[in-house]
Amino acid sequence: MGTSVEGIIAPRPVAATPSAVEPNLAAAAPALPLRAGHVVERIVDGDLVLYDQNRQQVHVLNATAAFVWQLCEGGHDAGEMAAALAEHFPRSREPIESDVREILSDFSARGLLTT
Amino acid sequence: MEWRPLPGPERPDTVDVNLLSFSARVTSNSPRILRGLLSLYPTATPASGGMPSVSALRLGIVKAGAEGRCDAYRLYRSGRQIDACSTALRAIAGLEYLIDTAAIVSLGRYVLVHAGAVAAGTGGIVLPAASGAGKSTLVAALCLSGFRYLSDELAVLDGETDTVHPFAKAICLKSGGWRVMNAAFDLPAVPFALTRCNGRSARFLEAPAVSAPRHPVRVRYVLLPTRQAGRPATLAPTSRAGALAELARHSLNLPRHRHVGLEILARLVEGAACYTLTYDDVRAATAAVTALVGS
Repeated sequence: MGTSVEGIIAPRPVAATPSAVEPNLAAAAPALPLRAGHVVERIVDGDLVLYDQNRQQVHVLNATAAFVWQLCEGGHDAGEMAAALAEHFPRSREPIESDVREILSDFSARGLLTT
Repeated sequence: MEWRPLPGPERPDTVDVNLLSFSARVTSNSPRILRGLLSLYPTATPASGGMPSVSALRLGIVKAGAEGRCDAYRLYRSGRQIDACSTALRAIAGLEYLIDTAAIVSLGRYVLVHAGAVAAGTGGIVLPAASGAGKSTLVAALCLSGFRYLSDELAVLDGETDTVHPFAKAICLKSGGWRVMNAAFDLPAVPFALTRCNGRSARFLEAPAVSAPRHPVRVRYVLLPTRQAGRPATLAPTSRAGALAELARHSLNLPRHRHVGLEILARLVEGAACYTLTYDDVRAATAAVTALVGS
């Protein structure tokens, strides 16, 4: 299961003019990540789609990112998410925690988490 | 199937332009201006008297001097002069801009997507793509292969019925698209041509068969077209989520509809088969789409 930053989520700017706020991929995620209220979720044919109503962007998450997203309830840190991920995807490559941190950092940079 | 000739040289004083529920009435003392409008908007009609049921826009254009003079054509909106142009073609381009802009605003209750759209039987095909990606060329080729025309640039999506409505302007081919189509099909030698308000020149062709204005169709296919030199025409299944993201990306008014708009687009892709269409030759692309729909 690939979890590199490339391919985790595919950003799709909705507005004709791209968002003025470019993602900062080095952004630190909150210690206990929580999904932002302005992000709408929709499962389409098994894929999780996020719609950021503030930035007007649509994101399609892969399976790993979708799993992490569901754990962003404000009660789990990256280590706990990595453990849950390893249990759910037992044959994932190591190191899984750094991958989770990358995903969370990406979520945060794209404004998908509550800060 | 052949292209129909452009409208004849009538001399109406007034033309009603109807695009779905939007209607504009244009009055002019210049037959050339009104003929130009009839060429741009195949569903426009010379006015038969009285106001249209819903007229969002009332425009007038007065030829007040010789062609080439800076104020040869004076443009009025609701009786007030708003612009002056030196040539009839510039005046028509100005009218087109005003009409299209007002139409898009008035159709705000629909989710509007920058996309080509055609119909076959009771099903529709939506082709979202960026400007310049070849939508109009592909739509023109599909229409010459028997598909009914809905639009070459705007898919009007109705969330109440999960359908796409016709937005039937004449097909607008930029210079590249014109070369492609002229090489592949027997087109009229002198189509209506215009330099639009964005500075780009365009030729306009009336589609052979326009879908009935009051008969929207269910979307059966979402095709994501990409033209690449040397590539054979290939249709490949793609995820509905990816197709949804492309529709959202090319939407003109999703911010207005927010999560409701996303739901409309999601339902649309859930009811459709979604493919990428990679091609170089427009005839081969048309054959691939025809085979898909017929299969």
